[in-house]
Amino acid sequence: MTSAVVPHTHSRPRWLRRRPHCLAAWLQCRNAYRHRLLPWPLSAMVIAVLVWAFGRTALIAWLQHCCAHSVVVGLVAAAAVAAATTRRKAGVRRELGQSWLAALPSAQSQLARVALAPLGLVALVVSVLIIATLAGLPLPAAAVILAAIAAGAAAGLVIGWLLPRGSAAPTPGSWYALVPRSRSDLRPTLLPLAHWPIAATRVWGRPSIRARWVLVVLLAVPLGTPAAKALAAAAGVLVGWYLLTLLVAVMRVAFAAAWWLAPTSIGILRFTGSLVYLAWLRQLLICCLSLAATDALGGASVLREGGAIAAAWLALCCLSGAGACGWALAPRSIAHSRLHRWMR
Amino acid sequence: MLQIRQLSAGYDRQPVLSDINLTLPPGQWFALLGPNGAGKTTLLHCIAGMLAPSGGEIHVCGTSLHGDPQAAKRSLGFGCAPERLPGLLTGRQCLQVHAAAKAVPTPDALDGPLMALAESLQFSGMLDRFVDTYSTGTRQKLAVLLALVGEPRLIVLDEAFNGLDPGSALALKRHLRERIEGRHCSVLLATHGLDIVERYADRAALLLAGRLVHEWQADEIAALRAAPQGLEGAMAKAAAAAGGRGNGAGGKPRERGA
Repeated sequence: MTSAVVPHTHSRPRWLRRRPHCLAAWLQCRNAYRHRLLPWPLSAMVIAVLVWAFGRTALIAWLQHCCAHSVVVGLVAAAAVAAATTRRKAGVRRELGQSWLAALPSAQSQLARVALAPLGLVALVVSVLIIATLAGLPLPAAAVILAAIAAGAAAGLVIGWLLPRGSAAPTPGSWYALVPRSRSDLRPTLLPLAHWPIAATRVWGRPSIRARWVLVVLLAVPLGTPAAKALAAAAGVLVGWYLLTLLVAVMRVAFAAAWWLAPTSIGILRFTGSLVYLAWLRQLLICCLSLAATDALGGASVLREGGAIAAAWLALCCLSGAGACGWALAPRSIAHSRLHRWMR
Repeated sequence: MLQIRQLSAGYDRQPVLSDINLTLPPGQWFALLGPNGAGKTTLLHCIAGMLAPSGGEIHVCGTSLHGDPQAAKRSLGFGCAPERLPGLLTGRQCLQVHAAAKAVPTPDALDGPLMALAESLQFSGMLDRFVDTYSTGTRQKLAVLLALVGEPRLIVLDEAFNGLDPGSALALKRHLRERIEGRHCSVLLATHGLDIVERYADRAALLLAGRLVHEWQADEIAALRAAPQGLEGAMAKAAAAAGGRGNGAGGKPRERGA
């Protein structure tokens, strides 16, 4: 092997070469766009959604409304960036002990690494504002929002950095499923498999995560909306979030469980039944409770529509769960499947 | 090359290492032995600057790891855990990132002895493939190659021979030996492979429950090579003299992955 085949890293800027974390992140991002198909349609979808959203006058009006309440926007930005900084601080601390780059000399300070996440958030907002300006948002309004967010982000970064550090220990993984079991019954059982998606949903639906979604929904509710409607919207989002994460958890757990259960004598039917039934019962229970609540609030016509949606959702859960289990346990693909690795 | 004085360290207020004193001069292969959970990896993480000790001092090539970590780390090559390698980079890109961080001109870093080692490890064909397509052994080879980028004067390896085929393991042992003799660097290897210690190491120490309880010099290792029970028997005796096997009581708590 000669140096002729080795591309020179000297072609990259010096500051990037002295920051291995940034260099590795840049190379990974470039590889993802060059060699993987998924990032392209995802990016296209995000851009399409943004262009569609900014084509609607309601959103431009909402941004102008934000411009009129720039102090609130600044406060929200400060709170979001402070929370992101505190989380990132714990993440950087964890990386320090585990990363493959941890033992390298790096010119990048911890503060700079912590600040990357909030700066990314601000960059995202800036790009959204640019699209909004192109779609008709007056330039002074965009400038006011940008200034409010930048000031809020700077204050949030300082607050987040000064706040006490969070625990460096990672969040307990979704595979820690607690299974209720009688002490006298020592027979082996597949019950833990059924509880696994439930545990995963519990981890993904931690209050800190749910709170963000509720906050986004409540911020999107126009001023003057009755409190009952706003609360109903928030409750709807929470229920929807739970149902969706339970569906995703079943599919993800199917691939994770297939990885180590495939060499056993478990059949596809037993595997599917054990893994899906409890999650499906939960979906059924939540749908019934939601329908009952809808009936109490909205009447028979809403109940009819809701019933049809719930039935379609339950059928989708059943089909997607069974499909994922069948695909995951199919012997042809497990060893080399990228999907298995990704889903795990 | 490496000086450790009264080192103590732990995780979340749980002490793992206590009162570790170790000096490693240039040109030596030092093997760190001990049962699972004794604190070997924790000690190596402290030396690599990945875990801040709760007490004591570490000097790498005369530079304090606490006082000037960048300068100390420039003399250090650490073999990270293979499962920590990024799946979306190629082996060559991983080597380039390490070379750039150590300010080594890329052609110099990725040419000559390192590529010769990659060739003898049968790794050169894998250089331009993504790490997530690598087998366990291939990842291990990359982790070792990363530790050797930039001619480090102190090479710190944790179970570096795990997963390697016998041919590659032999090539790596010979390469490390040549580096030690030709370039006066030192190797600190945590291992369970007693044959490596008996054939290649200049010194060895036994770590039990976070303490270095026994050390063997080169002549003692040579004598053990000829003894019927070898190093295995000597380790059992040392452990018994230290008062038990130290089966992980002082070890790192089980990591709860996200």
